[in-house]
Amino acid sequence: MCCTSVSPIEPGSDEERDLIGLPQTGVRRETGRFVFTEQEMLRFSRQYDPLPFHVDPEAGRQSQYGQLIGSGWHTMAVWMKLFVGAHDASGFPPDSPEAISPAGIGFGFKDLRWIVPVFPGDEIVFSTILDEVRASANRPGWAVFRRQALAARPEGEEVMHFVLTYLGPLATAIEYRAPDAATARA
Amino acid sequence: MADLFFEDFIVGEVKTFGSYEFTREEILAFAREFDPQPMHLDDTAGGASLLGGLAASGWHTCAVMMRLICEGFLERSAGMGSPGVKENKWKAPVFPGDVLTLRRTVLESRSSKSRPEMGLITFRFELLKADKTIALEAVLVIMMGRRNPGARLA
Repeated sequence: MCCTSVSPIEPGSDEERDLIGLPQTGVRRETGRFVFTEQEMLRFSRQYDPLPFHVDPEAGRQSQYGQLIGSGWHTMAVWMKLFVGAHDASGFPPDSPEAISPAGIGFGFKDLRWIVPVFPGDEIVFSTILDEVRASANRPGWAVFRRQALAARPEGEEVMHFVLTYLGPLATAIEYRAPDAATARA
Repeated sequence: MADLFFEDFIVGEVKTFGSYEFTREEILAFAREFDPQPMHLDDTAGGASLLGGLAASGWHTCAVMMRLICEGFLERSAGMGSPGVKENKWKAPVFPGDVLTLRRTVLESRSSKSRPEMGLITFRFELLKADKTIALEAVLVIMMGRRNPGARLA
């Protein structure tokens, strides 16, 4: 009496999803809001993106943007900051994969668009939509995630968008958390 | 003043620029602020992770790529910003002490009918370690002012 009568479960199938309870796709989850102060924008740009319209308010005024604008890489880094913060690894041993890499290991991103600039003092709303998740065949408890990363102004205008792919622990996926908890935390 | 314009980027051209050392202090500082996962903050956690040791956040590597792009040529160019990144791959972890250089390939050059003062250039950027391992590869579009706005290209 063993498993011979059980048909194999196809990876990525609905059956597998039901069995291991993969996180729900297609729902937008807010990870937090962030106000970009001029001081923080300048600090990031001076170190990593020292173009005149990112580091010099006067040069910003004379540029096609009409004022100083933030580095698009800063906007991305803040998306990650709030995304990491939306994970909860409490309850996992300190040496577990969930605790040491709750948001996983990135393969890369694609289709990044910096749609409109971020100006000093802007408040930006960050969120994510899980597009696809597939349990890892050779790493139990891990999955390959593909998700949209979004940044928008509070009134809804899109600021930035990209698609991120990574290998991460399933148990800490933010889709398992109550939406209000992830939002309130950031 | 800018001395590099849209016309100066020749499709197929490959150039290497600069170098940047990832110090332990900077890896930790960046990770604390933007990617505070223990694998980027602690030797033991880094060693136990899939990265195999304390390693820089991939977003930090991206930021350093931008710094090398600025220092390498963009600061003295007629660059007008970027609409985005087509693709970015993190291909190998970056560890404390790694020194990375930037390799730039011009993939495509396209003038704009609606905005005759500029064109769009598509670059492939790679960050290479000392042993030539590619740590990061990105395809990025940059808007570049033209030396002769509106002139018909040969």
